Amino acid sequence: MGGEGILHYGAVRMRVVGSGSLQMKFQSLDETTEYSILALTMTATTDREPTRLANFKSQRASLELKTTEINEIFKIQKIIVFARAMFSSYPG
Amino acid sequence: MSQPILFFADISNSGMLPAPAWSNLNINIPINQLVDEIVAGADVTCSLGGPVDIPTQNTLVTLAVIIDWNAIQGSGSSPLGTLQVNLNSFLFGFISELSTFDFPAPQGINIVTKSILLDTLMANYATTPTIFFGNLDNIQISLSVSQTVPGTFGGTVEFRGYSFTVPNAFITTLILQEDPLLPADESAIDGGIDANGVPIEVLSVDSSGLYVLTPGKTDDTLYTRNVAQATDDVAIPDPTIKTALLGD
Repeated sequence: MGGEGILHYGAVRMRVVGSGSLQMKFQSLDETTEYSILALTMTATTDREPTRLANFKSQRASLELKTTEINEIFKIQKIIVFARAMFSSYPG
Repeated sequence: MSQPILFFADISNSGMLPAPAWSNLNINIPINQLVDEIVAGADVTCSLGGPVDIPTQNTLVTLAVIIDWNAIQGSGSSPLGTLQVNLNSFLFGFISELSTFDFPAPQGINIVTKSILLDTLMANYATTPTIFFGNLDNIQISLSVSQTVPGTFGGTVEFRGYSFTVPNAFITTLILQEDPLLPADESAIDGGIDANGVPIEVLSVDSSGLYVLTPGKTDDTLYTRNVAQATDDVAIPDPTIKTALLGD
């Protein structure tokens, strides 16, 4: 798409262990728009790679992950972001 | 610096008795009971009192008697070629100073000083250990003539400004009697600080020292400054990762 196309970011799947709640959100260029994803409750061990749905449309996006409470930790080994091209560009 | 105690004894009597009647006249001048008529043998005492501090060291104290007097001869011939004015001042009951002035005496201020060691002062005056009242209760001013006055001595004899200069050690001091202003209780203090003698523990926002990485520790360590070796575990401020921009 060359970065100009508008993508739809529909889901995130990751391999994560830890404790507490993992906060996630998509952010657009310059963080002008964002979309919060349902938090993940982490465990020290797990046999699943959970998926969280999203509904975020932007040309570019970054994924922010964080914890906010004391003694919450996370260890991420893999992140899969599901995205699909929706539009080629904004009107000129 | 000294603290003067001033009072004025103003004797004014234009109708004095003929001199033979008041030969060797003794005049005790009162402070608050000035007599209008000088009577031979009058014996009126005065008293000045006030709290004075006793110095702790045996210092040489000087009592100064300042006499500002003015003898004005009235009408008539001079009663005497020389009239002696003897001044006897008994201060605190232990100092006696005899001064003799010839008449007509030099007008203006005449100063007589007397020094005494503090130990002597204390020995002559029974006091309490910390404070006593110096009562000037034996002030006597004697006027005497050495011989019979042949004529009438009229006019006015004035004594002004008979003052006692008290040395520093006897300066009257003010004693603050009021209690210091204190809040009624701790709740009256703004902020409701309840220390009660115990240092208030305040978490320092700029704790100094080495940051030690402890394996397995999942929080930050905050060292308090008010309590030695005391630490607090606080959350790491929102540990965050962020991916690169996707979709390129």
